[in-house]
Amino acid sequence: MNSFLELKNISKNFNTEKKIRVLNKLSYNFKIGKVYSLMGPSGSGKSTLLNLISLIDRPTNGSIKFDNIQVNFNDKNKNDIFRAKKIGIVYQQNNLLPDFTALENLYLASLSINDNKKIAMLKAEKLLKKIGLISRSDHFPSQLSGGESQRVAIARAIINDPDIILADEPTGSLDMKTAKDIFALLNNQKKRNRLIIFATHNRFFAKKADYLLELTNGSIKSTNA
Amino acid sequence: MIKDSIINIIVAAFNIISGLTILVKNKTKDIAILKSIGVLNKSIVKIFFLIGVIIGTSATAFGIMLGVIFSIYIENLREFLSSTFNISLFPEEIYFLSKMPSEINLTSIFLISICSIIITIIVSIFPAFKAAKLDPIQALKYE
Repeated sequence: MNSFLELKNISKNFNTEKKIRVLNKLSYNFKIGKVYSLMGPSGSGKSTLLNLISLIDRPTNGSIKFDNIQVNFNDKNKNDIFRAKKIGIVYQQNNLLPDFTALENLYLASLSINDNKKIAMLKAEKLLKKIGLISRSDHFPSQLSGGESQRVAIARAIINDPDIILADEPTGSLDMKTAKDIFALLNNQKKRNRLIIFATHNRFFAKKADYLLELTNGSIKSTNA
Repeated sequence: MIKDSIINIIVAAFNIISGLTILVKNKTKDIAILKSIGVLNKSIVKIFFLIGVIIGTSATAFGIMLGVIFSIYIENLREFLSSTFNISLFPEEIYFLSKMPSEINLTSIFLISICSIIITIIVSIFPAFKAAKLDPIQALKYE
């Protein structure tokens, strides 16, 4: 199987008072239709790596290729459009817009790729039905539980049919039962031939991925989970 | 009168800038979320620009309405305040006015409205661009 996402010699430095090198000439090829778990201690660069893959951040050195096409980090507009169409992101918590209902949070993501409102709403309603939250469509994030919010966040991440789903500790703030449900929902996306990369501190979930990646000293060590 | 209007418009413009800047600051995380789902910078500029224009236009309309009502009923208002607080507001023997003077000049109203809407549009641009320039990583990390 060909690699879909190719990271080559990726380095990332943060220039605060001291220069901090978080990623150091990291190279790895990710295959589509597979689930990758990303482990490592706090500060090891998991979120940084996800931010680079999602094109929210740019590497200090190195290159990223999606489907053999190299990313031009100077073309922000193109990268934003690419992210809207091809990448779905789920954060640990508070990743829904608090002033919008569950339904609005979903269809806003769809509107970002120029869908008209009617189509976006239909897509959002269909997804809410699928995740069992249609009765909560008019509820604001503050009226949803942590698990429900996370399900809405996952639905938002997949509303535009992305090839890649990136999740930064998606189950980090949830109890075990809810975390298992969320993980199952996320893992289910594999069937749709999507590449899923999630950062976690939880070895139980990490081992359920196809590949377990350990981030140490700015580099990746891969094992089959 | 024109001088007063200019001062009022400048004050209003600063209010819009500071109001929108505070709004951008309060909505930093929301802007970061929008960026993370791929909303383009130009759309974020549009959102905050539109907020500024809506605030400015509605404030202009409301201000004109209030000003016209105030001008029409200025004498009634003076009488009401004088009787309520038992004071003599603008007494005739001092001001030589039998009633409060007021004039509604349609040209002035039109000019002031246009000026304030144009200034609102201009000053809304700065906070809107500030919103679009926000670094989503910093916002998500530190909010």
